[in-house]
This record gives sequence, C-alpha cells and structure tokens, in this order.
Amino acid sequence: MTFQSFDYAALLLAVFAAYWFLPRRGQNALLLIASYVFYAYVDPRLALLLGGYTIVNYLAARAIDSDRKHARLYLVLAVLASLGALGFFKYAGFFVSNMAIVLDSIGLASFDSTLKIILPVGISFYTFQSLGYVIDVYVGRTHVRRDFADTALFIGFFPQLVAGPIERASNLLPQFERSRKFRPDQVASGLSLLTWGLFKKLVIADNVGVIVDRIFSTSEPGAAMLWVGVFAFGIQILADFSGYTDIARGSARLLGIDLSPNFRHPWLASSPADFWRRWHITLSTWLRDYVYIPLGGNRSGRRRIVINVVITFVLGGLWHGAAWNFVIWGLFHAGLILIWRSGSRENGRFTGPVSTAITLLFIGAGWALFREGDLGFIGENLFSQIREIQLAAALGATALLYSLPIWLHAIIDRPRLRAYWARTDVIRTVGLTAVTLASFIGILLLRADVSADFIYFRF
Amino acid sequence: MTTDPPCNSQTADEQGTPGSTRRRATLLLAAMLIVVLVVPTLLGRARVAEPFDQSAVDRLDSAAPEIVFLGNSLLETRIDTGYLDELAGVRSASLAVDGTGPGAWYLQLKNVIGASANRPQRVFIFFHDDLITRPISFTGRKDNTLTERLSRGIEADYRLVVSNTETFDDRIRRVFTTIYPLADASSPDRNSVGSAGAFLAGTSRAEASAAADRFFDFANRRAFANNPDIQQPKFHGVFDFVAENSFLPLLIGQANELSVELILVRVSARPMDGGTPNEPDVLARYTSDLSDYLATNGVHYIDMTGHPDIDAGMYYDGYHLINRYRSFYTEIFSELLLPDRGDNP
Repeated sequence: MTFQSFDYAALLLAVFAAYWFLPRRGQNALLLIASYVFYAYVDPRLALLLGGYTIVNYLAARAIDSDRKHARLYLVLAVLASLGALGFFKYAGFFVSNMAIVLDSIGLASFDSTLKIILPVGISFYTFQSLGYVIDVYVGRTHVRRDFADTALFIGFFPQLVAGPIERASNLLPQFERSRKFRPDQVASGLSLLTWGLFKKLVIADNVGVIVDRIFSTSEPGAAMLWVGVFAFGIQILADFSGYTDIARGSARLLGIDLSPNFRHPWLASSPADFWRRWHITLSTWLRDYVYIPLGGNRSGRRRIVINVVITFVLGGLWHGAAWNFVIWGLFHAGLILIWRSGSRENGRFTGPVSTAITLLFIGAGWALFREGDLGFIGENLFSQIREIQLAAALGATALLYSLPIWLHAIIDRPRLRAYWARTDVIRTVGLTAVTLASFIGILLLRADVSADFIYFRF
Repeated sequence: MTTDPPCNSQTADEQGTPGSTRRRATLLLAAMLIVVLVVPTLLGRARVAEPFDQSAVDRLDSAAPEIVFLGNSLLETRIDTGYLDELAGVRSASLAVDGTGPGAWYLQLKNVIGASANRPQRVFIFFHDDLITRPISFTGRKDNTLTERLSRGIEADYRLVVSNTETFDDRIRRVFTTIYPLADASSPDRNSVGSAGAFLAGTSRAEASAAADRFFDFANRRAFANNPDIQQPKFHGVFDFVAENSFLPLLIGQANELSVELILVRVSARPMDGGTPNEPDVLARYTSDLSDYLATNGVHYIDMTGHPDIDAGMYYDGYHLINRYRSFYTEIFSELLLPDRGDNP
C-alpha cells in the first residue's frame, strides 16, 4: 500500500474516523491493527517478519533490564538477530555474487550466484529503529517497556514503517503512552504537511523522475544530458524522500503523534557535514550515536577520526543498498567531509554562500554514484562528447522549474517568517490554508501521468 | 509558511485549552477544509471532447495496405513494416500506439480500418500474456484524448465493456475528476512546466518533444537483458471469466462484420536464460483455452512463446526487444506469412 494510492487514503480516513472516539489503549490497538494491515497488504508474510522483529527486540530489552549481569549477552544476541535478518534479506545476494566472482577469478569454483530472496520493504528502517530501542535500554537512555502492544506499535507504526523517519524510543514511545486528545490545530498542520508531501511526490518527484529515467535508460546520453540527469535526480530524490517523510509526519499528526523531522532544507547546506545535518537527519543521527561516537567520534587522534568517518559513511552507503556503487557513494561523502574539515580548519576557507554553492555542486554530482549501479556507464558518459545540447537544456530547465516550490519553501521557512506565521491562530490558519490549497491545486493540475514507487522503498 | 506547527501551539493542549479556544480552533479547521476542498471545484471546466481523427483513415486509404498491424510498443520493437514488405512482398501498415490495449485496438479496427476505402485483407493484433482479454484500453496512463480521437459518437459497445469492468479505484477517479475538472489528465495545462522549460532553452515544446522522441527512442536504449531479474508474466484470471467481459468478442465481431481476417499474435515474455518459456502453468492453461476459443470463432492464432530462434539475449526487458533484433524478428515473422501468403499464417 503506497501513500499516493486511494487505498491508503481509505485506510487513513477509516482509522482517523474511529481513532478519536477511542480511549488510549483502544487508539493504540487500532493503530497496531492498521499498521499490520498496511504492511501485510503487500505480502502477508511480511507481517510475520515484522512480528518476529518485535518479539525478539521486546524480549531482549526485557532481559537486559531484568538481568543486568548478562545484559551485554542479550544485547549482542538482539543485535545479531536483527542484523542477521537484515543481512540475509538484504546482503546475502550481494555477498554470494561477489564471492562467486572472486572464486571464479582464482579458479576455485564456478557456480550460479543468483539468489532469489525478496527484500522486505522497509526492513532497513525498522531494523535500525528496533535496534536503537534495545541499545538505548542497554545504555540507560530509555527505560524498558513492559507493554508489548506499545513496543509493537513503536516498531510497526504504519506512517513511518517503510521509509522512516527512524524514530528513537525516547520520542515516540512516550507519545503512545499518554492519552491523546483531538487538537484542531494539529489536524490542520497535519493535513497541510500531508498535502505538501503529496505535491512533492506526485508533481515534482514523479515528473522529474520521468526525465531522469529516460536519460539513464539511454545507451549513450553524452555528457550534457547525463549531467542534467544526475542533477535532476538530486531534485527527484529530495522531493521523493522528503515528500514521503512529510506524508508520514502529516498522517501521524492527524492521529496526534509528532514524528521527528528528517529534512531541513539540505540544498542550503554550507558544507558536506552540514548536508548530513539536514538530509535524512534520523539516519545520520542514528549513525552518529550508534556507530561514529562508539568508535571514538571526534575525541580520538586525526588518523582515527579519518577511519571513523570512513567506516560510518561506508556503513551509511551500504545501509542504502547492497551494491558497490553505494559503498563508493559513502566513500565519496566521507572524502568530502574530510576535505572540508581539513580545509576549513587550516585556512578558514569553505564557508559562506560560496561554500553552499560548492557543496550543492559536489553533493549533486555525487548522486551519479547513488543512481547508477553501472559505474562504467557513468565513466564513459559523464565526460564524453556533448550531444543534443538544446534538448538537455530544455530538460534541465524543466527539472529546475519543478524544483522551484522546494526553493520557495526554503525561503519562507526561515525563523523570522515562521515566527510571523505563528503570531495568531487566524494568521496561522490562513498560512496553512494557502499552502494546502496551492499544493492541492498543484496536484490536480500538474501531477505526473504515472506515479512511481518511492525511491526509499528499495532500502 | 511552514507546515510545521509553531512551538507555542504544540503544548497548548497540555496547558489546558479553554473551551472557547477549542471551538475557535475547530471553526478555523472547518473553514480551512471548506476553502481547500471547495475552491478547486470552481477552477477549470470540463474539457471539450476531441473530434474523431479522420487523418488516420486518410493515411490508411493512401497506403492501401493488404496487412495492418495493431498493437503497442511490443509491436513497435518487433515489426519493421518497410522491411516486411520487402521480404514478404506485401503492403503492410502499422497502427501501433505505445501503451495501448484491446479497447483502443477495437476502436482502431472499427473506426479507422472499418472506415477505410482500401480495407486490408488481414489484421494482426500483437499482445502479451493475457492482455487480449483484459478489459482495458491502455496498459499505463489512460489517454482520454486518444480514446476520443478514435471514437465516433458514444461507442455504446465500448462503453459497456468499460463500465462493466470498472474498478473501485476507477470509479473514485471518475467521481474525483467530475468534482475537480482540473484533475482531467488530458488537460493541456499539464504540459505547462515542460513548455516553460523548452521556452527557457530557446525552443518550443513541440520541437523539444520531437527531439526527445528521437533521442530517447527504443533504438537508443541501454540493454538490460543481462539483468538476472526476469519480469514475471502478468496474469489476471481464468480465461472463461475474463473473456466474456473483455473486448475480444467485440474485436472478433467487428472483424467478421468488416470481412477482415483477424490474426492474434501472442508475443513471448523474455524466456529464462536456458530458453525455457517464462510462463507459469496457470498462464499456459489460459493460453490453451484462448486457442480453443479462437479456433471455435474462426480466428487465427500465432503463439510465439517457445519459438526456438528467440532467446533471452534479444530482450531489452521482460517484453520489449532490443532494437537491433527488430529486423531479425521481422524476418522470422515474414516466414510465417510467406508459405501461402494467405490462409494459414
């Protein structure tokens, strides 16, 4: 069930209609049922997997709490179980095919390396979220939950189940544990956020996606066209993923739940490190808190910091997909961060609007590694002859025009303007109405003919 | 305007919202909903239907083909009519339109081929899997403009199939478009951003579209045939159930009425790497039922599934052929036509 389908609208509407008449436990039960219906809609077996994750991590957290002496063992078992399942579903094919290549090349063995394992949608997201809970219980950042239903809802809450935001127990669980009352202002902002997210997906991402797909499916697009494709993909993926997040957060807000923000105008980032503070925030903070800092973070020597950054970003790249291009994409970002870090520390460069423009350029170019698994194709075309310059310009201009609402949002979402819009409830409602109305009319008028799956559903 | 609520409103409820404030907030929410839902109904107006496209008939008249092909991009990537004419010594024409299905082919047969002064002797329809009995006019986006350009008046038979098989989703979409005329997928406003982009690049949308069609043609596409993920054949139900609710009886009836020989050609999905047809048992049973049904109704049927000369390496994806194999496929097909140029293709 995807967010842009009428099926999802029907589910959300039905849940919303019943939800506000129920007591807290009833609300949670309804959300839990809706979450499993939502997930099983694609394939009922997926609900079993999600249930398995929930049971393992619930029991592990309980065991850690009740038997502190062996807490480390329970933590390791939970981590192994969760990462084992993730590894099997997501990385087994990658590992086996690469092993086959290595063994074949040294003449040891030759075998069919094609594994047919389905990738359960959203597995990377709920693996990290449930692991985060267990680790937080272990280190004492949150207390253990004895209510199985609340824990199950935390891991499976349908608006954020398949593509985040990756929530922390300390933010989401307390919201399920307290009573929620219908708040019109929260519903209004939820509707507005949901419509704006749909606009980004159906109008910007899907229309720009058509341009991107056509360019990347051409055998010899030439340099100009491929560069247009790469930067257009940067627009597509931001609109697609932040659109998903906004729909998720908007849906949750209709139900009185506030999910964490996942984007903060990443195109305005003044450095690659700043980009990661603005892009997929819940993943980058997860990696920071559960990988980078435990590795030593910034507290160790220069050489060790380099290693920590590289490990964290390679893992971040691999989290996105089991393919070498994601590893290289991670290395590319690690390299950018280290170069910026050394440049700004030693001679004060790489700051201000120039740095923002250069960051945008490098991050944009890096999407080539993310979008295309065949690096040979990138190498052959990205610096090849320029063909069809006018067509490339027309497609690039079209993609840029589609991105204008995102730029506009970045401008009007500045703190001073936010404060202005928040002055009175009437002004606030006028603003929300304007955004919602414009988004809705935009969807009616400009939506793409066919809506593709969300890009992050693959991860 | 940010869509995130300001900080002070986040905690309003926790601080204890007075009744009047709650009523006021509810009224504001109601006002917002009314404005958002009602204003777009006032914008745009129902689009005037496109007239029938007589030029398609005129082109067919001047070409005076003996054979006409109907189908979508699967036909486009398989048959080169010019080359076929050389090989088989026949005059042929293709009316293929990307993304079309049986409903559109029925309208082409009835209103374009049927209206031609030089009616062909034979009409070949190319389809994949069970598409021929699916009650659809388009495999992807529904192109209302094309439907209108192929229609003469109400097209009651066509409408009957469409309305009998309309899904819940279709109904919601139809009601939605009635309430919000702006949502009509055929509105020219849908192309406004592309037109502006072309203008900024110093060209027109028509020129940019033509250049894009050339540049992104199937002939220039990358081959993904080495991808081990083989698309699964699409199958939607047992034959008896779907046939009676489909356009197939209409196609057969129309061909009989026009005294045109109808030949259905089922193209094969990309076979497995060993050459085994990529066809589950349920689809094989369907195919057998389809073959019997067509034989009973006097319709010729060619099933290309399992053809020994067609292998997985020729495929661009699950169904389309790589452009360089188009001529080869045309040669294979011409051999089916050559033996007698007539009765038994």
